[in-house]
Amino acid sequence: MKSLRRLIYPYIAWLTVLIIIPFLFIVLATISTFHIFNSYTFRFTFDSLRFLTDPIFLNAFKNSIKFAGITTVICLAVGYPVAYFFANIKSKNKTLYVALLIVPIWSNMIVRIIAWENVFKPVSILNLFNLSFDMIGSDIAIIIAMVSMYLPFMIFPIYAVLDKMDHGYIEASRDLGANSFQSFYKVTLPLSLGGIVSGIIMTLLPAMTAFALPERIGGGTTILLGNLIEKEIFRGSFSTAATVSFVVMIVMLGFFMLIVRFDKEGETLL
Amino acid sequence: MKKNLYGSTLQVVLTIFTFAIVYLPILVIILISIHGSQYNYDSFKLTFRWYQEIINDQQLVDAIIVTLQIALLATTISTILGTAFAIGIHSLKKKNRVRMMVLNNVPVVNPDIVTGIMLFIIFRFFRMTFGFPTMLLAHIFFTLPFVILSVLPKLKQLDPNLFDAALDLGATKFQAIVRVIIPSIKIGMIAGALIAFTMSIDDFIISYFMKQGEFHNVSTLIYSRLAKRQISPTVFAYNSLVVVLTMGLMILFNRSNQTQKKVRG
Amino acid sequence: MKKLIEIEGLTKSFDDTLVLKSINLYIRENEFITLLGPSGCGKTTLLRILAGFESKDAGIVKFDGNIIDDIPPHERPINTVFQKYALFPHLDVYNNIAFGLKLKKMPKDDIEKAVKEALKLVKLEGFESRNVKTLSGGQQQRVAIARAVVNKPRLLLLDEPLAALDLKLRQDMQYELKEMQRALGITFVFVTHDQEEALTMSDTVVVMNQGEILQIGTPQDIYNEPKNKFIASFIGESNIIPGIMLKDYLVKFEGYEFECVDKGFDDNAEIEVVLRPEDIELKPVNGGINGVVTDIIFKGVHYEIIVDVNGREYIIHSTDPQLVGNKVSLSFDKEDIHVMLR
Repeated sequence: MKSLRRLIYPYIAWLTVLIIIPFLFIVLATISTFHIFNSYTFRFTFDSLRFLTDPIFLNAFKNSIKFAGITTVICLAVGYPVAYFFANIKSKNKTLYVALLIVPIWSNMIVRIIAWENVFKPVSILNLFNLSFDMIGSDIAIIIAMVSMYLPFMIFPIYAVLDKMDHGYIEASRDLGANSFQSFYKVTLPLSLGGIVSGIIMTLLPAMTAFALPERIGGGTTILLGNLIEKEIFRGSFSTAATVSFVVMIVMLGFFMLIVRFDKEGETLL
Repeated sequence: MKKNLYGSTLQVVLTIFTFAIVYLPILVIILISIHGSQYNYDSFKLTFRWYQEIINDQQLVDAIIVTLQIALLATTISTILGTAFAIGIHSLKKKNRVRMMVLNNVPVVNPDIVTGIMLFIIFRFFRMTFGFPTMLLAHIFFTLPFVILSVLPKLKQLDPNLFDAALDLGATKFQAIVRVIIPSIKIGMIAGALIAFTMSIDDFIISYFMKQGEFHNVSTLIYSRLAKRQISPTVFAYNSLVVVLTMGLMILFNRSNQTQKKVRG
Repeated sequence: MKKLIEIEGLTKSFDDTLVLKSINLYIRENEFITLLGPSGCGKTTLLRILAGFESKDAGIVKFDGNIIDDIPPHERPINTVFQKYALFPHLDVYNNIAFGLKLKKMPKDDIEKAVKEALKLVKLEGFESRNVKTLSGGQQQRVAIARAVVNKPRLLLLDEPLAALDLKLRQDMQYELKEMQRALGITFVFVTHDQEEALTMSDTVVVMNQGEILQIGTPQDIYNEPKNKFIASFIGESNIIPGIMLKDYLVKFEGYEFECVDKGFDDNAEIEVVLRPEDIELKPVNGGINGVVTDIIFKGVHYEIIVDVNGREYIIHSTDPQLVGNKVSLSFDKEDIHVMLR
């Protein structure tokens, strides 16, 4: 099949133009006066890096870590047992149950965010049931909405790994004298690490960079990195947007290294 | 084996919690879509008027058409190109294959907003006019890696000599791909296409960076109406239709799958 | 007989590893030739170059007197039976076999006839509409053969086709393949690492190791007169003893001189002697090579007896059992002494 290798050349070109070049632009914009909108002067400067000490950025960074971190921990704590449960049910409808978690994703994300916004507003459809919350702007509201959005993305990769796992491993460990906790802790858990890493990435990174969700549920006062990037780029402030993006990319690359360690070809990402 | 009763009770409770928290917004959306009043929540009034009004909301209809056009085109193009690229990647030696897959997975792991920024930058750089073509390119860009990710494992399961066997029996390279490789990896391609379609329909953030003036897909339209506080329940009605329709299709698909399995014994 | 394939100086390397080192070989028409060697010896690469799946680095490959470098695999009158069969999973038995004929745009009726004939040849009549994934290993194997021979190739390449079958089935197929080759009158090039397979089926055996051809000959030649230690130990079990060729027809090893049938070595050349386990007879102690029985294993048809002679272990196959500890003398005919260069 060697002759088929030629098929990847257009893909390499495509990825170069759409990933590598913009990435270099972002790096360049972070460390120089480079500007895509109007590029007349060029010199190296670390001016835009100074933005990283600006309270606006620090606040957004802190918020991102806080909300995305808490959301990810909850999603993992809930998602792992659920994935384990799905992987072990013996029903012919097994795939359907898992697929039912995909249905909400088919519903438009923005509409789901509005639905949560409705739930947390004092005057809402919930009044029909004599329920009323006033939680817009609260941390808890943001976290609940985030968990609702990203929990399925934690469950899918872990489920995929657990479902494929050979039951023989567990039986072998029991045979060798492990009790059920030991066999889970020493066999099942390490073998599902790839799925856990993928799940964490699929939850943490989108949560960190969300902007519609914190804007609506946070009542416009809670700023995350995503909100910052969005505001800066549409304000025409290319270099600050690039700098913030650069920070996000560093975080992403860190996780990327992790995923390459566990699962070279990213099979658990699906 | 003795069942760990505490463990399984916890699992059931958490599973119920998961479905509850994931489906609550869906239920709220459906409820709003069949409630008679936009502002009065004292008592429930069943109505289907919001569903009828979908067709009167020209802007929404246009946005739905754009969304579907983009999704169908992006899915078709991504599936064809992604399959070709996956075949190419599969024929690489392990080391280069891993390198290619690392690059391939960048858009998968990349937060949407960064992908949005990257595409925005490069399209601006090439002085492209934002609108349908850029949105289509963007959707192809982020769906393509998923098609490759779902086709590649199917290729790995194939007998390594399958392609050579076809050539050996007189097929040209093109014939060997079309008549042997593609039928053997069909399931991966269909799965990839479904994921691509889902991602495309659901995308907001990347599309948001590709918008231009009054050109909208459903997501960006709703977001812009939010800012102007012009949300009417028609949007919720449309969204409910999509959810009910997909859920129905999924259950139907599951049924037919099972009867097929039974027939085959 | 006419030469169908001529190979001269064929060289091939993958990433700086030389897998074929200037191979010279010709294959006659209607011959059953086996490439025998351990895995990684280059035999499969040689086969793939013949089929057209790999390109060569240097050398000449001629088919029917014409150089075939530029002919793509799909235009060569050569077909292959692959190791794990490579049956098309999405096609049933009929369509797998008809695949090549359909590409040649053969009329439908002719295809049907040809497929029927091929199925009859491999004894799978009535299997047309079966799903290939539901077939047993042996049946898949037969479909793979039918799919290749239905195209009436001049040359059929078989890449370890029996490796995945169990012992009994493998033996049956060896016999059937040989029959098939005779009936069809097609040249077979068979690749295997199993010496028994090679000896049973072939007209000619080509022993390969590390990209080189070590010996070409009939199965009898290869077994009885191995050219070197590698072949002697690769083909069947053997006792290999260092010695000296005093002169033509006289060899000395284990301190004794023996008459033999070998000649043409330098006088006093350092050589090695091959004694096959079944050629050695155990006698009560006399003046010859003496030793002590250290182990005996029942093998069904014969006993495998290990005899220690001054620290060197000999393997002997005999139908008569011995007691461990027995003192014995080794006896053999002069025809059974095979001499090769050290």
